[in-house]
Amino acid sequence: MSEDRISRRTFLKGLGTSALAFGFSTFLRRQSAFAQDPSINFLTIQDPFFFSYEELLSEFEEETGIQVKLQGRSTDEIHAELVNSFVAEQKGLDVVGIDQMWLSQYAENKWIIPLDEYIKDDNDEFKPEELVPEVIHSMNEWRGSIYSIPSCAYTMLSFYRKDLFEEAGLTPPPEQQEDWWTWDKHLEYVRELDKLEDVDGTVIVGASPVPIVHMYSQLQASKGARWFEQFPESPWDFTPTINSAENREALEAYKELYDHSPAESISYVWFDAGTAFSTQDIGLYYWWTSYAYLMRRAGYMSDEKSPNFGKIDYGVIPHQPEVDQLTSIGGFSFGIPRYSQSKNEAWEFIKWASSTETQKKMAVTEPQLFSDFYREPLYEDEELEELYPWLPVQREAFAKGNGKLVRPPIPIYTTLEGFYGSELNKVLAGNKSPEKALEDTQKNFETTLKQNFYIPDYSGEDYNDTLENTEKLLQDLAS
Amino acid sequence: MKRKFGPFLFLLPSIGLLMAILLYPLGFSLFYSFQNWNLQISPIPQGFVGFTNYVMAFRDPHFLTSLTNTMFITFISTTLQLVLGMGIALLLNARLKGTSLVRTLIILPVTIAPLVVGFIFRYMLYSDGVLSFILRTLGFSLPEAGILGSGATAIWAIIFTDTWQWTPFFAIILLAGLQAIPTHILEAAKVDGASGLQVFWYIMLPHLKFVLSIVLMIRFMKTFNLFDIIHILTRGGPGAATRTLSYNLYYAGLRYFNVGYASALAWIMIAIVIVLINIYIAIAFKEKEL
Repeated sequence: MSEDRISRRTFLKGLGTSALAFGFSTFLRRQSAFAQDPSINFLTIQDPFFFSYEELLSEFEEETGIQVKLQGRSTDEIHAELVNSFVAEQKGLDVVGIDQMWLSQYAENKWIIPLDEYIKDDNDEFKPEELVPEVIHSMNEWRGSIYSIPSCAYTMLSFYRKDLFEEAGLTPPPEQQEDWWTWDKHLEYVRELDKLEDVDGTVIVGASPVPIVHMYSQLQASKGARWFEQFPESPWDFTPTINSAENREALEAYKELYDHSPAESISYVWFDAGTAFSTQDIGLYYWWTSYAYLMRRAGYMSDEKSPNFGKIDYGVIPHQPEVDQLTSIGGFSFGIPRYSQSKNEAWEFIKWASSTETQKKMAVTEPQLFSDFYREPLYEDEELEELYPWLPVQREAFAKGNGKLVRPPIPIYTTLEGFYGSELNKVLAGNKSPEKALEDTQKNFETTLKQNFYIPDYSGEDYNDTLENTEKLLQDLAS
Repeated sequence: MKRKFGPFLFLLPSIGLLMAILLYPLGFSLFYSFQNWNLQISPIPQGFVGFTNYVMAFRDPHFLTSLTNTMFITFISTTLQLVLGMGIALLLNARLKGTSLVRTLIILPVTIAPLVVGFIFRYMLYSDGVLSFILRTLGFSLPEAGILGSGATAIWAIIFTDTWQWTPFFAIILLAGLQAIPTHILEAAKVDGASGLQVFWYIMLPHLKFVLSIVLMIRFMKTFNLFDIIHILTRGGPGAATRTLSYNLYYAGLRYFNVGYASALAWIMIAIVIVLINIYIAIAFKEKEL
């Protein structure tokens, strides 16, 4: 055997030494990781609040010594990624961003933990009494427990162009509900504004399946149409009521709103409508409150100022006579996955991120794109009101809000919404009449609800899920 | 005996690996296609339901439209890519001035993620986008709802976008095939007085036949599963005008988390592709042993 050839024994020795060295270095790395500051992984959607947190995270890390690894995802990605990680029982996520429509699915499958104990133990610091109860009821409470804490909360406002209203000689939408400000009046205004030269009366969101349901469900709820016979109040009866006279009226009105919108709004998603309103000549529309600050820019999160800056004003959304007004509430929240191994650190982060102080900092820090508050003191802050003048109208809208009635967050909501959105879009495309679309939606709801044991008799236990009960829960947690 | 089984023993690890990464997921999805497993309701399967998921799929009002759209997009898009790709390959093979630069640039669309391509085309296809402007300037009358907002044009926008991205793939592969044709055959044909068309038809095409068949098959299967571009451009709308089978599968599996139903849909798609590909193989490769 020549000298420069490696013998089998030498090779094995070398291999063994390398394996030992690798094992030892891994051990050392782990030891040093334990010795380092604790860290948490926070996965959430890249809505505006994400960028505000990004700016402020270092403050939390300095205060607590907990390192935060922030990861952003699009709406389309995050739900699938979260469910996959839960099913695989992955331990890598400590704080997750949850859409209110997924809360019941995550809670019923025990993928996230209830936060009641954390809140109660820390109530002097967390201050549950400051939370806007309508928001918590809509977004965070399920079967009498708080499973998540909001990161941002949206409701609906009317947005209008002051200059175009003046030109058309119209009275602006009020800042508090008034008898004259009805959906019929809204439609009448849209028709009038549409007559102005090169002006679209309104803009709708038409893309199926999710975006269109977000906008349409507000009109449906205001008109008094509901998804089910009885939910969320007990006894739960999931017999669908989607094919009702009120809903037909709402859908006909929505179709007419589309007729006065830019024609391509049939494929508009959330920010397309906002961008159209902030850059084109459109008279009046209703949409999520976050667009109040987003429309100051020429595009979604753009650095460029909107050409309509200073021309846009706000009012409450219209109501339907003889029907109790109901506004939609939506948004994202923080939850702690059952498989997290740093639950206490995760709670520390949530407590910091949802505090009045942090929320205010998010609002005043450049680029000043955050007014999605859910704590009362922030609505009484003069500095914030100066920065975000629509805050009083937003608080008024929250007071009429119930997200659970507008879009019932039952575990199979996403499936129902998918079919519904697709049918609504067909009405705009002229493929179906409102009657036929609602008839087909009703049939599909019945099939889906039967397959999943919701009807004829709900197989699970119900819960009297009312705002009053959420208020009691918050009082209990505060005491 | 040793000689008989020896080679198979050496092949066992590869076969084992193949089984693990290919057959296990397929078997897994086949098994769950007969189960009631909806992650919205329960983290574990709720029991055997026979062919219920398959029946649900065929009864879905969008199934037939999705199947028709899938076949339409697949056939038209693959054909366009083949014809255009062949044209580009012939031009590049002619070694005209600037060919080497074009050859480098032409591969760029293939390297871009389909999602990004979707976003780029979405903005270009909007009413105030550059493509809409060009089409209007050329005298085309565009739908009021925009190219993506009308059922009649949205599907063509998807075909156009997919064709833009994948034509270079055809071009590069076919160019490699063209350059592999022995030059003495082409020169002999020219000496014999064959026209350019005759050289293409009687010499190039027969030589390219095998490469062409393979690349066509790959693109057919990829386009059949087209999803990203549709998701960004139209989300299956307006109405159900651009819904495809893979789009339905995405919604069933990753939006509604109905694992049983999504598995059944996946198996229906697998069955369709297997049938079509086998017919294609029988025709395209009848003289070759595969």
